[in-house]
Amino acid sequence: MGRVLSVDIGSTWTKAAVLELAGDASSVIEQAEVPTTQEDLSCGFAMLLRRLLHIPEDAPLERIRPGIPVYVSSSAKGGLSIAAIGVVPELTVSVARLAAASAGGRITAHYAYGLSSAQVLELEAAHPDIVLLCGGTDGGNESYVLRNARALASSSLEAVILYAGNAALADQVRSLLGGKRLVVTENAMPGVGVLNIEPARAAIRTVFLERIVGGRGLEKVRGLCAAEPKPTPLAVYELVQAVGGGDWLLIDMGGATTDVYSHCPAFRGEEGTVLRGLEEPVLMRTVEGDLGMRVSAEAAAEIGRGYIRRRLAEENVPADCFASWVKRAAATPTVLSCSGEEGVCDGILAEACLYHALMRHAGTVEETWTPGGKVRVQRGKDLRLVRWIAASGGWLARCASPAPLLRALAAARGDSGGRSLLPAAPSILADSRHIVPVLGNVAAIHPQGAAALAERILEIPDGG
Amino acid sequence: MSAPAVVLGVIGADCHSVGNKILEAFFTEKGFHVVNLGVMVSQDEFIDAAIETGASAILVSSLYGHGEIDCDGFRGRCVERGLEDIVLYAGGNLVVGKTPRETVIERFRAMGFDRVFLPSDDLEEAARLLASDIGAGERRRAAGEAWGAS
Repeated sequence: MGRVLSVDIGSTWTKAAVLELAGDASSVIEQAEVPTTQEDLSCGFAMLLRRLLHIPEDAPLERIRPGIPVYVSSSAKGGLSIAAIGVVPELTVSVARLAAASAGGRITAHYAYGLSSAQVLELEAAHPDIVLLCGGTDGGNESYVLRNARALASSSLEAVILYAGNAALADQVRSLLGGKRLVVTENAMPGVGVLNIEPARAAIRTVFLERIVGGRGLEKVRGLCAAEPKPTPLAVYELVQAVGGGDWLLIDMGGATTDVYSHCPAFRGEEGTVLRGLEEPVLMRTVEGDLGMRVSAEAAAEIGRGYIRRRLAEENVPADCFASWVKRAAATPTVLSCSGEEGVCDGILAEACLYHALMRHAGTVEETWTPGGKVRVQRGKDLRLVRWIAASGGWLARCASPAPLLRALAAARGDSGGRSLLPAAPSILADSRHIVPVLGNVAAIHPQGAAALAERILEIPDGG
Repeated sequence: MSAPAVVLGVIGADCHSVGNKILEAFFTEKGFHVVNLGVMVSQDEFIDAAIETGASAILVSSLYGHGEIDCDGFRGRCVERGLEDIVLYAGGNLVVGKTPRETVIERFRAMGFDRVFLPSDDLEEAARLLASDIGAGERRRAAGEAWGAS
C-alpha cells in the first residue's frame, strides 16, 4: 500500500497526516493541522499539502503534484442534511433514521405515516440535501408510501429523493417521482424488524459526492484525490468497522453534534430477558444535533439543565456565569475556553452533552412480573459490557483526564435507576493526537493499517 | 395475487411460545404470509406490524388467562390507527376458570374480534374461515373503491 496523505476538512480544523500503510507495521510519518478556511476550503488543504509534502510555500494548489495518493473527508458545510420519512415511528421511521445516521448524515427532520401539507411546507423550508423515503415491508404498506411519494412529487423540493421502501411499489414510485432527482434502492426494512440499511447507506454516499462536494473550493481538492471525498462521520464509521472487535464505543463530540458509535451486539439473549422492538445493528451511529459545544451549545444547555444545575452547585459556579459562557460559545464557534471559570463552564457543558448522548444511544430494560415470574423487557442496545470508550473531537480529544466522561456516565447510570443499559465499567481512551478522522479516511481502502494505527495511538488493549 | 399477510403473536406479558410456533408453521403451510411477532406483544406492536406489512388480519393469542384485560380496546385502537377493516381473531385460553364457551366468545366478539377460538377448536376450520374472511374483506373494499370512483 505504501505512503498516503490523508486530510480531514472539519468545520473548525483541517487536519492531515502522512501515513505509511503496511498492515500491522503501519505508522504515522508526520501530522499537521490548520484552521479550516471557510470561504475556500482548498486554501487550508493546500497549506497542509505544502507543509507535509515539503513543497515551497508559494506553490499554487493547481501546480502541486503530491506524488502519493491523497484521501479527503469533510464535515464542512455542516455535513449532509437528511429528512427521514417512514410509516410507523417504531419501525420504518427508526430504520430510516438509523440508515441516515450511519451514512454520515445529520437528520434534520423525520416524519411518520402520511405527510400533511403543513409538513411538506416545513420540508421545503428546511432544504434538506436528501429526503430518505422509507415505509412498508416488501409487499406491505402501500397507502402511506404512495401518498408520501405523491406529496413529494407535487412539492417544490429540489433535494435528492432516495426511495428505500416497499420494493413492490418501486415502479410506481419511479413514475410518480419521475420529475425529481430520484434514486431507488433496496428496502431498508424488507420484513418486520429485518434491517437492510447497507444499500441506502451506499446510495447516500453517492449523493454526498454529487451534492456536497460542489462549491466552497472542494471541487479543486477533488481533482487531487485518489478516491472520492467522503463525509467525515462515514470515515469514522468505517474506522470503527475496521477496528471491529467487540464491545467498544467511540464518541465524537464537536461544536454542532455529538456522535456516538458503538460496536457490540445489541442483545445478548440472557435468560429471562426478552427484546422488544428492533434489534439494532452491531455497528451503530447516533447523531445528536441538539448536543454540541458551540453551534448547539444553547440547545444542549437547555436539554442538560438538570445535570448542569447539579454540577454548577458542586463546582460553586454561579448560573449566570454559565449562561454567559454558553451565549459566547454559541456566538463564536471558534472560541476556546481559557480562564478558570470559563474552563469549568465548558467542561460542565461537555459533560451534559455526554450524559444525554450516551443515555440516548443506550437501550433500556424494565422488570415486569408475569404469571410465569419476573421478566426483563429490553428495548434498544445493551452497552453494559462495553469495555472501552474512545473519546474524540475538539474538547474530548484535548481533555487530559477521563474524569468528566466517567462522571457524566456515572450520573446517567444513577439517574436512570439502573434502567439504562449504559457501559458498567469502561476504560477511557483519548484521541489526543486528533487522529481519528484522518485514519477513518483510509479505513475503507486499508482497514488493517487504519485499525492497527488506531489501536496503537488510542492505546486500545490487545484483543479489543 | 401474493399470499395475504397475517400478523401473529402472543399478547401481553404472556411468554407461552410453543403454540405460537405451531400456529406460525401451520398458517404458513396454509398459504398465508405469517408475520410472527412472538411472545409478549403489545396491542400497538401488533398494529405497527400490520400497518408496515399491509396485513389483512391480526391473530392474537393468549394462553395465561389475562387475555380479556390485554385485548380490551384492541378494535378501537385499530380503528384509531387506520385499520378499520382488518380481520381480527383471538384464540387460546382466553379467560381464567370455567367460563362457558359462549360467554367467552360473546365477550371477545363484543370487544370487536371477528372470530374467537378456544383450545378445542379445529385449526383447519380456522384457516378456512380466515381465508374466507380476508377474501370477503377484499371484495368489500374493491366494491367500495368502485363506488368511490364513479
